[in-house]
Order: sequence, then structure tokens, then C-alpha cells
Amino acid sequence: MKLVTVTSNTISDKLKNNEDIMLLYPLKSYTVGYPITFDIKDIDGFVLINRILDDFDLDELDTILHKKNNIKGIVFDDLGILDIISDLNITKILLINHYGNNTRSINYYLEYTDSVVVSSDITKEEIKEIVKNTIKPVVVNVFGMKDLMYSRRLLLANYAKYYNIPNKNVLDVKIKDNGFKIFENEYGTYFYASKYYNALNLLDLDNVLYFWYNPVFLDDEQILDVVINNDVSNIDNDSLFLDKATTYRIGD
Amino acid sequence: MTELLAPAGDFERLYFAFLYGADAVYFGGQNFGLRANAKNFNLEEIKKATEYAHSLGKKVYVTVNIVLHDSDFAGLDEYLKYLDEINVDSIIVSDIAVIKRVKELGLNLAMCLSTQASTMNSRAVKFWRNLGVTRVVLAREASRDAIKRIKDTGIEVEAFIHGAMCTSFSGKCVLSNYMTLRDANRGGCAQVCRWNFERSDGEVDLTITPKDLNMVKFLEDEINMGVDSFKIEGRMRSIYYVATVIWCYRRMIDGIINKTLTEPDKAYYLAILNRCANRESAPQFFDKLPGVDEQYFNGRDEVSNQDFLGLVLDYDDDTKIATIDTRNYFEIGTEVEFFGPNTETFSIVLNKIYNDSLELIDASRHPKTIVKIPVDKKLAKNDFMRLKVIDKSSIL
Repeated sequence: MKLVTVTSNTISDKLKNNEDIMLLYPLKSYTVGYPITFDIKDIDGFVLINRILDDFDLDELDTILHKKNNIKGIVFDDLGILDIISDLNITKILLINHYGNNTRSINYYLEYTDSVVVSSDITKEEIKEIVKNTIKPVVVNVFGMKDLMYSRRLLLANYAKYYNIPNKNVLDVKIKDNGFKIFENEYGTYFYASKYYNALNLLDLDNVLYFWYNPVFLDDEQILDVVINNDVSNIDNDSLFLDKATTYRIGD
Repeated sequence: MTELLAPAGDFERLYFAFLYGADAVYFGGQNFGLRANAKNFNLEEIKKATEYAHSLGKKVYVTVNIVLHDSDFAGLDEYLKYLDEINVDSIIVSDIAVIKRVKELGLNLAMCLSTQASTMNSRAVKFWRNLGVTRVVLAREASRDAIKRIKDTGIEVEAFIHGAMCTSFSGKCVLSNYMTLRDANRGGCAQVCRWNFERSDGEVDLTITPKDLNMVKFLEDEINMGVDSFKIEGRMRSIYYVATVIWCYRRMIDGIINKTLTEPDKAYYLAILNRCANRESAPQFFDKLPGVDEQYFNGRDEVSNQDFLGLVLDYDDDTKIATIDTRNYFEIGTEVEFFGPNTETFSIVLNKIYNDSLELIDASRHPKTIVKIPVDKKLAKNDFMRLKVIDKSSIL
């Protein structure tokens, strides 16, 4: 089954009746990296919460999640959230970003959650090995903006203020041939790789609860192409770490 | 407990950290730690360091804080058992697989959750404590109020008070992986956040480099809040840096506890810290979200300094001659300053310099040479000689 991050109300309408798709809505005030977010009352599907939170945020979130709503599941990064959703009868998926890199850790986290998102910082072979050996079905990133960095700082606002230039909350930059797309909201700055992560060749894996599509910044037609038809011909994409192993230590 | 915790990139730094007032040090072994560029310690050195620390009544914490891939587990069990056997005081961890493994192996190792886990709330602390973690290194983004709530859980809290900052939440960055294939979460960070990002529209480059952290202004608040351990960043820094930073914070912590620390004292120590680091610093997240004053734009303004002039190897009480192992250029007429763990800081203007053969020379031009200098006041081995730059009386 596909888990698709909702990037607009229109794409939500276009996809919501597809039985093969579960929609994932970035929750207003609790996500970074997503230009479009949703109020809890407007969510009919899964909710995404990827901020690192303090206790005051969690207290408020506790209230929000326990109001009457149509949430069917939650994808979250901060482990503190586990404590406030223990009584909720929803699917709980841990996105512990950049940490789902080995089978043992994922299996340990699966003792506390229904599923875990496998990291997209590792190779295709590593992903396959993990998916083969987890004690519960996991979530695998197959397409979308690849997150590279999450800062609590308001880097773009500070930059604009310092140079007295217009403040843009979306910016495309590069170092040599490596492009980045940056998005900032009041909760922090998020760096993505400029090319969309393409791991659609993992769609045949077994033991997967959801294949995650994260089509931030694409228009509806592009999203339909990739989500419905797995067609990325009109989208600048890259396999990123799927085929490029990182080194353990310098000198390795 | 108010612990001052120092970085130790190797045994020499560890020695100086303890000598200058650290209560504990942290370092990595050859594997499983996040500073692959530091010298780090082999197994025998870890044992030696632990025994040495314990002989002083001090502690060692060993970093086992990489985020492992499946292929990285080889040797982990043996390593953990060894650290347990030689009685290191704690390991610093971030991957749940390491934490669970310690328990599965039935080891008595205390575990401290690394700042890499970006812990900012008491509910996450509860999760980790249930797994056996006894101390948490807070995310550097934790505010005063967030720290209070975490401290209310009763867990030991360790907070960074000085040194370089990540732009990102620690552990939430793979810019290095993307740019260089060096895995930031396995010790290979290439510090891409200190590079310039080019815009396609010709507008000025984006820079995202934070200034360093210093908590001089809020150290007393943190002590009063009950923070248990005050951590200095910088396992790859020099002995001069480690000694200077520890010297300053030791005096500030003791001064706060003894109620003798004054505002001019704090200003003096801050001036020394900033000069020593050769970078500007700020409290960062404690009292507000960092703004333009907490970042660098278009590179750093400072130029590198050569303040560290030499290390005292010996002092002859009869002749009042100090033997110095030199590090940077100095000459007759240079005003130098001496400081040490038990040496009250003082300065002199050099009027004679002798080489190792006791011949008069006009200057010391090369690092790592031995010179002798007449100094009226008593010095001790391993005191430092630095260029006199900061005039305490002008601050006072």
C-alpha cells in the first residue's frame, strides 16, 4: 500500500478514494519542511509530525490528538510522542529520521510501535536486508524530497535580515553540482536534496506496510504521474544513497 | 554534583583537562565514536586513561555514539564487555541497538544518552530511562524552560556550555553524506554547514554557520536549575584550548558556588574564551531563538592568532629560570602572561631569552624548541605562557 504525503487540498481530493493509497497530512504547527500543513479537523487519514518537541509542545499536542478527530495513524519523529499516543487506537509509525539504519534498532523500536520508517540514507542492499529481517512490516521511502538537514534556527530569515534582502521561505541553492531546496517556517529550516529521491525499484519488496511517497513541491499532475503510474519521466530525480554507500570513517 | 566535563582527543589532552580542573573527560575509542578525525584511544589507552582518572578521583566517559549500519556491529559486543570490565564510568550512546545490547549482555555499564538523540522533552527522557539510560545530554536547542521540565524527571542532565555548534539538530543532518559521502552520523562530518551555498539568481551566497556556544551569562542559572554536568565541546582542539577553557569554567563554577564570581570576572573569562577559540560565541538557544548575532555571514571576521607561546617544562627555584617548550614566535620586549592550575595569572615583559645552550637570543622563532627565560615569580611544570592580549584591569 502507498502512503502519500498530502501537499494540497486538491491532490487530497484526487487521491482520497484510491483504496491503494493512505494519505499522510503534515500537521499544522508540528511539521517542518512542508509548505502546506493541515488542521487536525481537516485530516482524514494519517498525520505527520516531524518536529523535535519540548514539553510545552507535547502538552498542546496531547490535547490536539485527544480531541475528536478522524486520524487513522501517525508518523512521528520525537520519541516523546509515544507517551501521549499510547491510549490511541491508531497505527503508530516511528520516523526516527536518519536513525533507521540497521535491523536491530528498527526491531527494538518495533517493540513500541506498529511500524518504523527505514532510513533513506543507506544503500538499496542495506534496505533490502533490513526489510527482510524486521519483526513487523516497515515503511520504505520510495519517492520524494530527500531531507538532508533540520535546523531549529531560522536560517533564511536571519540571512535576509543580515543582508537586508527579501525574505523567501523557499530557496534553491547549490554547492558545486549539488543542489538543495530549502524550506523554512517558524519552527525551523529544512534542507532537501534538489533532485527527487527515486527508489521506485524497491516497490517489489515484501514485508512493507507502506511505500512512502513524499512529493513536496510537485504539482498535482506530476504527483498523479508518479503515485498512480510510477512515472517520473518529467521529474528530475536521483537514486542518491541507494547506489552510493557512505564511508564509516574517513580513510575507509 | 556540579561536574565540569572536558573533551579529550588523546591522552595528553586528557592529562591537561584534569590538571586544569575537569572533573571528568569524554573521548572515543578507535571505533563506534563520532570524531573519526580525532586521534582517539585504543583499548590499552582507554584502560590507562580510566585507571589514571580513577587514581585522581575523576571519571571517564567513552563515546559509543555512532548510528550503526548492519555491517558495523562486528566487534561491538567485545568492545562493550571490555569497557565494562575496565570500569569506565559511562558510555555515551545514541543508537537504541547499543543501549539494548548493553542490557542483553548483562553489563553494568552506565549509559548516557548522546546529544545526537536530540532530546528536548521529559517524555522522551522517560522512554530512554526505561531502557536503562541514567543521564541525558540535552539537545543544544533546549531552552531554559525545556531544561527545567527535563530536570524535573530526576534524571541526570548534562548540558553543553562551550564550543562549536551544529547548525542542525545534532543527528538530524546528512549534508556531509550528500556532499562527500562521508557519513556524519558515523564520524565523518565534513562540516558542510560551514561552506557557502550559491544562489542561482546572483544574490549573495547563503551561509548558515553558527557562532560557537558559550554559557558564561547563564552558567549560574544552569547551576541553580540543577544541571549536573557542564560539557565542553572540542575533542580535536589543542591542549592550550582545553586547558584555557577548563581553567576559565572551573573558576567560574567555583566562583558561583562560593558566591565570589563578579560580573567583571565573567567579562574577563569570556574575553579569554573568545580569544582562545579564535571565534565569536554566544549563549545560542538558552534564552531565545538564535538570530543574526548568533551566526556568521560570509565567513568569520577574526584572523588566526598565535597567542599560545609555550609550555613550562620546568622552573628552577634557585636561578628563577623557566624552561619553555615553545609554540609560537616571541622576542625580547614581548609582554607574556603565565597561567596554570595553581599559578595566579601574571605577566612580564621579556628582557632575556636563552636558547637550550644558555646563549642569549633575541627571539624564539621556531615552535617546539627549548628556551629559557628569567621569571621572578614561581612557575610550575605545565603552566602555559601566552601572549598578553587581554588586560584584566581594563575590564575591571
